[in-house]
Amino acid sequence: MNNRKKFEDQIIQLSHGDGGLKTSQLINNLILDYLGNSTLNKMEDSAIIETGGSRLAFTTDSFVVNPIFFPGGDIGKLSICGTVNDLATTGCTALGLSFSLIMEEGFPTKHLKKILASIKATSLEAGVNIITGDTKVVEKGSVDKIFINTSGLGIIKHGLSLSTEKIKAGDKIIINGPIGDHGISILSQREEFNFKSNIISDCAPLNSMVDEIISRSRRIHALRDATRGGLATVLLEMADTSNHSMNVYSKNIKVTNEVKGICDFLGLDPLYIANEGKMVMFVDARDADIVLKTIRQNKYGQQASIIGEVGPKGSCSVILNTEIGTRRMLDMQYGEQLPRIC
Amino acid sequence: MCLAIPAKVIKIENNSAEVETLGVTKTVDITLIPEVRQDDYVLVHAGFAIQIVEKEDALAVQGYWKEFADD
Amino acid sequence: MIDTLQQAKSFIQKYNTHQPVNIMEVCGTHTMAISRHGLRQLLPPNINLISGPGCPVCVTSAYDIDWILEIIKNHELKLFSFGDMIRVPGTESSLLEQKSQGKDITICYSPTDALNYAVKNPHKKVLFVAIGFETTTPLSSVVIKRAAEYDLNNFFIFSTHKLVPPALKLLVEDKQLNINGFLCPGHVSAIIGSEPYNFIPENYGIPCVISGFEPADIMISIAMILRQLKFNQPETQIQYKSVVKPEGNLVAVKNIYDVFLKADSRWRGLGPIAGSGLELKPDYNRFDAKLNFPVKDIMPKQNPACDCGNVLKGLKKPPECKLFAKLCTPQNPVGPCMVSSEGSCAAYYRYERFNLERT
Repeated sequence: MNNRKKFEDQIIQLSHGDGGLKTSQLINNLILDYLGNSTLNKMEDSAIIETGGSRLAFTTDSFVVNPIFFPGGDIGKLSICGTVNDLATTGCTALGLSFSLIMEEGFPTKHLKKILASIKATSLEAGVNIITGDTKVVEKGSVDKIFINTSGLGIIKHGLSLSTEKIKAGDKIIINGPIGDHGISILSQREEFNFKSNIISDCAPLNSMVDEIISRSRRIHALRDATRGGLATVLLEMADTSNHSMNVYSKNIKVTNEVKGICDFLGLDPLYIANEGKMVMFVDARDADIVLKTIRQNKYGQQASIIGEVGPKGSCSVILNTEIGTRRMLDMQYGEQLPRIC
Repeated sequence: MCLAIPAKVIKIENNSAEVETLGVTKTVDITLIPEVRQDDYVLVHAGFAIQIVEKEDALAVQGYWKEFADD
Repeated sequence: MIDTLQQAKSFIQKYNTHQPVNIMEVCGTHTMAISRHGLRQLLPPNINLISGPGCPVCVTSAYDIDWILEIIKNHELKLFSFGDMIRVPGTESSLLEQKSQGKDITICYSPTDALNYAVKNPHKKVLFVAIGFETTTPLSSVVIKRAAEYDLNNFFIFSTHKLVPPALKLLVEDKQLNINGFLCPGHVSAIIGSEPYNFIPENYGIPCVISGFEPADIMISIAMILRQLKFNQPETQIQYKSVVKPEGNLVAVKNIYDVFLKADSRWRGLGPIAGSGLELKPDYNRFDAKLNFPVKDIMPKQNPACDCGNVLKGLKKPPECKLFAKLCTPQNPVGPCMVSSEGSCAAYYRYERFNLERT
C-alpha cells in the first residue's frame, strides 16, 4: 500500500487499531506522512539496523488485551511472546527486552504478581531477559486496569537475511498450526455470549522453532507473525509488499472445530481472527518438506501445514482455492469483525 | 439475511436450553419451540432456538436425486 | 460434499434449456454463500443469479437511521444494536461514528442482552434497535413480552422489522424485472413456512424454491428451479426440508402478531411498501421508541448517484453502479448494499471484484 492518500477520518475509531484496512490507512496515510523514513517504510515486524558490521533487529509492541487473564495465557505472557515473535521473524538472537507498565490506581497487587510470574516463566522459556523497564500509575479510568509495552533488541547471525523482498514465485507458504485460537479464546470470554468451550489461546514464544528451521535450511525467505488481522491480513500485506500473487488452499488451512463453532455462531471468518503463536513462513519449494518436518518436531508446530504457494510477480492478489474447487479473492478486512446476526 | 446454525440440545431448563455445536456449548432461549426435547437438533439465531432440525437431512438430499433421476 | 455438488451440477445440466434464466436469491445469506464459495463459477453461463432485497440492514431506510441518531443525540440512553447495523450511514453520521464520539452504544448478539441490561440497570434507559425479517422478529416479540411481564419502564425498541412476501410481490409486479425463479430465504421460511410464497407460482407462474445455505443446497435448489421451468410446472418447493416445514413455526408466528401489527414501511431502494413493516401494538406503546422519542422533521439526503435501489431489485449488478468501488467502498460505504457484509455490493467487492468468475 504505497499509494499514500490523505487520511480523511476525523476521529480515531476502534477499527483503526484492529490490524485491518483502517489500521493500514492510519499508518500509511497519517503516521508515515509525518514520521516515514527508509527503515520504517519497510513495515516489517522488526526494523533492521546495520551498525559496526553487525545487523540488529529492533521491535516494539503494546498490549491492551481485555480480559487480562484468558484461557492459555494472560497479558504478561502475551507481552513477551508478541515481541519475541516479532524479533524471531528476522531469525535473530534476542539480546534483551524492555518492559513498560502503565497501571490504573486500585489495580490489585495479586493480579500484578500473577502477571509478573507469567512474564518470568515465558521469558525463561524464550531465553531472553528483561533488561530495562519503566512503571507508571495513572488515575482510575485513565487506562483499563493494566497496559504493557515491550521492545526487543536482537542480533542477526552473519549472512542471514529474511525479508519480504526475498519472496519469489514458487515459494511454499507454511503455517505452524490451526488459526484463530487466540482471538476466539478472548472473544469467548465475553459474558453475554455465554459460550463454554475448551479453546485456549495459542500464545507462545516461537523463537526456538525459528532457530530450528534456520539451522536446517538456508532457503527460508521471509517470516511473519500472524497476529492482529489474522492469516488473511498477513498474506495480503506480504502479497502487497512483495508484489507477488499468492494461492492458498482452504483444505490445508486448519481451524479447530471449536473455533469454527464460535465463528459460525457469531458470523466471523477465522481467516481474519488474531493468533499469538502462528508464524507464516515463505520457503523455497526445494526446502519446504524439510522445513515442514522440522516445524512439526517443535511443540508449537505439530500441526504445521503447507497452505499454498507464491505466484508470479506483478499482481498482489491472494486467491483462496475453496474446498469445492472454486476460487475467490481474499480482501482486507474493513471495520471491526463484529458479531453479526445478519 | 439471518445467520442461523444447527446445534444439539443437551439440557433443558425452563425457557432455556444448553446446546452444543462443534464442541462449543451455549445457552439459548427456547420459548419459540416449546415442543423441543433433549437430544433434538435446533436452529440457533441470535441466542434463540427458532426451529427443530430434522436429523435425516442427508436423506432429504437423496429424495431430490430420486425425483431428478426419474424424469 | 463434493459428490453432492457434482450430482447437483449434472442435474443443472440435465434441466438446463440454455435459454437465459434469471434467478433471484432473496436472502442476503444466500448472496454471501454464493459469493464466498464462488458458486457462479460452477453454473452454466446462461444462468444469471441476481441478488434481491434480502439483507435487512441494506433495506433499512436512511429515514429510520436518522431518527435513531436524533434519539441518541437528544436523550441520555444506552443503545443496543446488532453488529452490521452500526455502520449503516444516515444522512450525516452512523451509529459507529457516534460510538467513537462517546455515545453509549453496545453491539449485542441477542435481543436478550439488551433486555437483561435493562433489568439490571433500572435507572438507565435502554434502546434496542430491532432490525430483521420474520426470522428475527419473534425474538423481539419475546423480549417485549418479557419486558411487559417484568413491568420495565426503561426498555424501548425501535422497530425496523420487515416482512419478506410484500417485497416479493412488489418485485414480481414490476414490469421492468424479468425474474424466472426465486431462491427463497431458508431461515425466514423456517418461521413462515412455504404458503406465503404460493402467490408467486400461482399468479405469476414463477418457480419458488426455499433453499438451505450450503453450496450443495443452493446448487440443488437451482436444479429444482430449472426443472420446474423445463416442465412448466411452477410451484413452491422446499429444498431445505431439514428445517423448513410447510406450516413454518406456528408458535413463532403467533408471537410476532401477539406483539406487532402490520404497517407500511420504508425500504431503502424500494421505497414505501404497504403492509410490509411491523409496529408495536397499542398494548405495548410504552416500549415503542418511536412514540416515546418522537422527532420533528427528518429529511434524509442520499447521494443521487447511489444505485442501491436498482441493485436491490436486481436490475443492475453492483459493478454497474457509477459509485461502485470508486466513491463507494466497504470502508466508505455510500449505500447500504456496501455496508452490510451481506449486501450484494459488499459481497461483490469482497469476492468477485476481480472478475474471477468462470475462470
